[in-house]
Amino acid sequence: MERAVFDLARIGEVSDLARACKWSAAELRGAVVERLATLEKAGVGPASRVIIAHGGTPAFFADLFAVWAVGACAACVNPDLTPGEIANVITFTEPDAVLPGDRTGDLALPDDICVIEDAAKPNKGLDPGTWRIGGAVAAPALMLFTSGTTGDPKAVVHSFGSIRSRINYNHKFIDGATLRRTLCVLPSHFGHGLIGNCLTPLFAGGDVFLAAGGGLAGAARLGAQLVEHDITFMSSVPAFWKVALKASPPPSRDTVRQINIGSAPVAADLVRAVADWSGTDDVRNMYGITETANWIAGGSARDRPPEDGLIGPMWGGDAAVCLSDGSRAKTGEGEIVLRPPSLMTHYFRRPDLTAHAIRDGWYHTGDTGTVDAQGWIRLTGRIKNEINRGGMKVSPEEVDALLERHPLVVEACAFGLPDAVAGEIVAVAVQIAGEGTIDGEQLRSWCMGRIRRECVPERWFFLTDIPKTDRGKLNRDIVRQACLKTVAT
Amino acid sequence: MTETASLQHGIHWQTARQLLASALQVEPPQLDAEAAIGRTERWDSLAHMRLVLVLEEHLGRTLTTEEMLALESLADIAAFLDGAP
Repeated sequence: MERAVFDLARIGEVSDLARACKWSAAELRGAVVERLATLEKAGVGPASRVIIAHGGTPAFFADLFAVWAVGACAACVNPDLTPGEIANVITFTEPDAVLPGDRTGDLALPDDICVIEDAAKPNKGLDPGTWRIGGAVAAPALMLFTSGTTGDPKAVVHSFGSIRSRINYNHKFIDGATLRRTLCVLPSHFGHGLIGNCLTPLFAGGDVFLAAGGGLAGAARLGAQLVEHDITFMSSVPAFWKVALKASPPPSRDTVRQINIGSAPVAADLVRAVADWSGTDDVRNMYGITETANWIAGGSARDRPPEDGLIGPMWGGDAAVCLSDGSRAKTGEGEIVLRPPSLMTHYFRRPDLTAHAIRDGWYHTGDTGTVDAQGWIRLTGRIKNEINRGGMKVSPEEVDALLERHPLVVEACAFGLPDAVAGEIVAVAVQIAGEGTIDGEQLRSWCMGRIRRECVPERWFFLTDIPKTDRGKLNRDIVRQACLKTVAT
Repeated sequence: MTETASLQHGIHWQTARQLLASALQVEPPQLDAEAAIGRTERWDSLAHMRLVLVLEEHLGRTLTTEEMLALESLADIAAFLDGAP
């Protein structure tokens, strides 16, 4: 049986800048051994599923590598999920174990579930030996949740082979010297932060510096952090850069060799501003989707001058466009479809969604754009309804479904509104039952404990009726226009 | 906010409230006098950057990093506007 493996013998070290702690590669390996023993004792092995409910720390990586060392699948969930959302995810995934990290106290975990609470730094480090972890190429390795933690979860499943190929291609397009010291300002529960910013440098032997969640003060320290830690590579989202460019003085010397920006549309002006601020002209507008592991295409400002929507060539695999008649073409304009080696295997327990997303081996992105004769992708629009709040993807259907559980809400329709900083914010039109009275702040408070924060609407519109198309269907663009009209008049 | 309370907080209290409300995407009356980072749930780093942008537009100049980081409450914003050049 062919295996896809990751070599822990040559990983780098992980520093947690917020907690001022560092785990050397030997300490990480020591922690993996400790956790591995606990997992095996609990009967966790190939085909098992393990929820990792924490993140953004060296202990998270020890947990992840231990799960992979036994050949099991790690379901990495957002540490900010509410206890209710975690409970829903557990019901949906039926895990064999849960690794809560430092979240043990606030999670009401079922009595019959194996909880492994060992997230501490190991007592001793271990020297390199044979440290090849992983599993069968086609075996599930990673589950990442893209929506539905309040209702029907949508979890992307990647195999060991898919993750391995993504990292291999990332190494092909980012050299080892560039990956020597990486700053990660993104959370570790989705592809961009986890696979791109952490696993890619770690498995190239580079060191990773974790600095997610620092808010404005953290962004204001960016220039100083780059210099202090001699950072050579980082990747983030446009919203982070909008804050950092305003709040942080530029680095006092050039350290960064390459900067990737992705997870949301990147304006050409922003690419140029980041290049000026950082001192590197190798700033890349990246196209990445959870379903394709992380970055799937990107081009450098060195190769072509930045333009709004211009991405670049594929980082492994094929891109094409799906034309209006349903046929595929190598070049032209239409829905962007992809066939990368790092394509997910399926959505967990959702064959309906999988069949819709992957047709004839091609992943339908829901983004519209062009592919030119040189294979450069340009994004121009979006077919899917997804809202992109500062790089965090929000499913409007999930917001609708949550709000419609409120006793006073007859119908809800969420949609994105443009925002100068976040790119988009979550807005919602709500129809209230009969004589009921409730305002946006009350509904927002009701949402807070039930759904992760980025999904809680920031703008509320109360309509007597949610408008529909002449065929009686919900069209979010029409609802958006109707809501904006109420403000304009 | 009554006129008396507004006077107690300085001449730019109402303006500060309007600008902060705009940044937090709420109506001004929904903001209480104690609005602050850590206390007002909507006031995250993205909202703070929106606040910086509306303040810069209002003042017609760029804020320094120190000024941005010092704005931690509605009272801070009002005091900042009272003393702003």
